[in-house]
Amino acid sequence: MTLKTRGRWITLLGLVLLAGVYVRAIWFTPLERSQGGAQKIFYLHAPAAWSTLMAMGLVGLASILYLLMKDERFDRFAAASAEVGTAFACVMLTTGPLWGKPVWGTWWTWDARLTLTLFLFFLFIGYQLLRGAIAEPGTRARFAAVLGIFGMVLVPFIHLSVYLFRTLHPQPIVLKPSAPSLPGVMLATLLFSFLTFTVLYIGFVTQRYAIGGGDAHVG
Amino acid sequence: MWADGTPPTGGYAIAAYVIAAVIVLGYSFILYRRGSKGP
Repeated sequence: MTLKTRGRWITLLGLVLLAGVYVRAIWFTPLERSQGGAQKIFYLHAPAAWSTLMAMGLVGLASILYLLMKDERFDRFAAASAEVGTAFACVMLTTGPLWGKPVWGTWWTWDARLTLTLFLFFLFIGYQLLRGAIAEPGTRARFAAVLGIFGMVLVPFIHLSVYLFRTLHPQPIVLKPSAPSLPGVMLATLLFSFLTFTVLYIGFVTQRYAIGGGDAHVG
Repeated sequence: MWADGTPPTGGYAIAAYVIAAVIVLGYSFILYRRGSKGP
């Protein structure tokens, strides 16, 4: 089985699991009393944010390894992870305001978490524009690696921004030092969605890595 | 408010679920098409 085919099968598994997340979240997870149906957005928004931050974290890690070892496969993985991260960032940045409007009363506010997340999205876009603008593979990989490392540095700041700054955004519910603060059935749905988005990330990156391309070419 | 006191915010959830599905399925399709064009 080729890498591309493997990626397609993993993606298909991820899509089936995503359908399961939809069914479980909509019909088998209770409504939250104070937020109503909008609270269910959280089962997509938080896992999409997890995949986005994981994608940029791995872009940075692969970039460091590329700079140390000059192995083209790390650069190729970083390019794949950045593109996939952009797709998940789109999910995160569209579902977030759709939750914010009914719960906060506004689509968007320029607080630390939201602004840093938007900045991360622009970094993802900038990373791909940079790759598309430089034709020489070695230079492209080196410059992109530096930008990828900057992106990775941003990830812990985004996660900790709700502790470091006064922000409207809720604090972490699962990835925090104490036990998750969520009823069991809601937590199960959320963890199932985290698993699903991780499988989707792996499937997408495997396919994108196998396909390659998307960069500028010499001549 | 609904009779049980829950705010009627399901429309926002439906919009979010539809948009997320469009993005994920759309990107899956884009990758499939790109992969089918050969190396």
